[in-house]
Amino acid sequence: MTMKQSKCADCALECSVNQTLKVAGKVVCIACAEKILSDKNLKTKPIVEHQTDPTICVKCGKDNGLIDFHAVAELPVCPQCESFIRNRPFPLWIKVAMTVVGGLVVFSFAWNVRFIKGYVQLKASHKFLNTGDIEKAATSLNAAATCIPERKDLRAVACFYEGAVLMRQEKWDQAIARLNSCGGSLPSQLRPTVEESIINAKIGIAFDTKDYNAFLDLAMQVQNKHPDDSTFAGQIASAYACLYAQSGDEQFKKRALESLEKAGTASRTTNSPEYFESYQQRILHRLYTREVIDHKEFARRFPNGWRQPKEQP
Amino acid sequence: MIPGFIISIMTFPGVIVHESAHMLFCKIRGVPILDVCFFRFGNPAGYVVHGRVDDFVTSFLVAVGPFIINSALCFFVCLPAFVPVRIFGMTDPLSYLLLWLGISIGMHAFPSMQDASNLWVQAKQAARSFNLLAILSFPLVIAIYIANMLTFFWLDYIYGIAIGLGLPTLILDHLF
Repeated sequence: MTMKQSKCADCALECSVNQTLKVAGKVVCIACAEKILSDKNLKTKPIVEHQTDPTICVKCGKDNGLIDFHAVAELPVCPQCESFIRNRPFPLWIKVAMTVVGGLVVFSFAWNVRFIKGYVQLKASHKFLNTGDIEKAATSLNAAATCIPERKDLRAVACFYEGAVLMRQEKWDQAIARLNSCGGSLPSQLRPTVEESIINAKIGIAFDTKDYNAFLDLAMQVQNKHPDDSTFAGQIASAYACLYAQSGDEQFKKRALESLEKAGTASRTTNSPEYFESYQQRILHRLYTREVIDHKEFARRFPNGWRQPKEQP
Repeated sequence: MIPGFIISIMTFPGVIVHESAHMLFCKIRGVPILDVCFFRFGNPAGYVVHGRVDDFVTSFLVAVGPFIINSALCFFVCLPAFVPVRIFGMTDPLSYLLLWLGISIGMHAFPSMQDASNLWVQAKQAARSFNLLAILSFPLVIAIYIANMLTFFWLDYIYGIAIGLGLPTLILDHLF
């Protein structure tokens, strides 16, 4: 086999093409090229190009004698190397690494799917809370807390809303038990609401058991927690009205009317005057008839509201 | 200032994926691959030497391949770790490993200056024959140059965070 030969333009040395360089358009041997490039008097650096012997494979160095190899990307390569260059496989370690990363991602998805489920439930609970659907919000929060047991605050908030649902259903004992189980993981901003809800549940029990003195004490406790908000005076009016209905003591009736007046004035500044109107009717009915009925019975008997009959002259 | 080679070492999976993406698109488009370095301690940290490409679509895909592959992988690697870490503040090592991996991959999504230069030369030639993709590529190449310059201000890291953590937030908030 004979490699293609080239003659150095400077020293006339015969050498293989691969052993030559084109410096500023002149083909020279490597020694002469180094001499030219090391000349300190050069004003500009000349363009240097590698000379490639088309009969030698650039990749494996295989010599094809006097026959040129097929050029790939302008470089001569033997058929074996050409096949490799055109179908270069990914190295095994890349394939293994990518498989490991893919496996990690799949494993992580499977491992963390409970967090995604929990997040979906949490977002759903926010939507339900915004629409006032506490029952569904409590269910979603409970599901979220079950998905992520590490987050004790989620369980505590779920407990809080389950307690609120039981309050709404007037299951006072169960509500107190649920609210008491919220524990120390409850966010601090919800703690006063829990305490107040427990008092309200106790008010419910006192009302149901006709323990109106306890009802009054508890209503006072709630009012004392909000000294600047007279809307809570409505509960005090209700308690006095119950005591009046039970005892007939005019002092209770007077205090009930005073508290009702106070609550009425406060309700005008809030966005619940309609609620107060129906509440007021119930208290006045209690004072007028001395009969204590709960709001469900009141709504059943007087679906269009109750008006105090005019006194006959 | 943290030298570039240290960042490359710290985020080496991104370099490997970047070069793999170049190689993948070369293979898909039948471009001969003369040499590949997936990672090395030097500048550049990796490279793919491929044969000359005559059609612009191929040039475009080979140059922009890492942007597509690295961004997609960044998103999918970070996604399973995102909810437990970001939303619920969990601190399990697997999630942190995936976040590092995902953000490292995302950080190397930008095509390099060399990729942009190659694309610019090819786009100029192709635009002469009114190749629409080539014409549309000019602003993209300029964007790549700017993005590369802004890596000095950690734009690559910001991009990785945006794809790995920002995009899942956006998607989860809109889905649920």
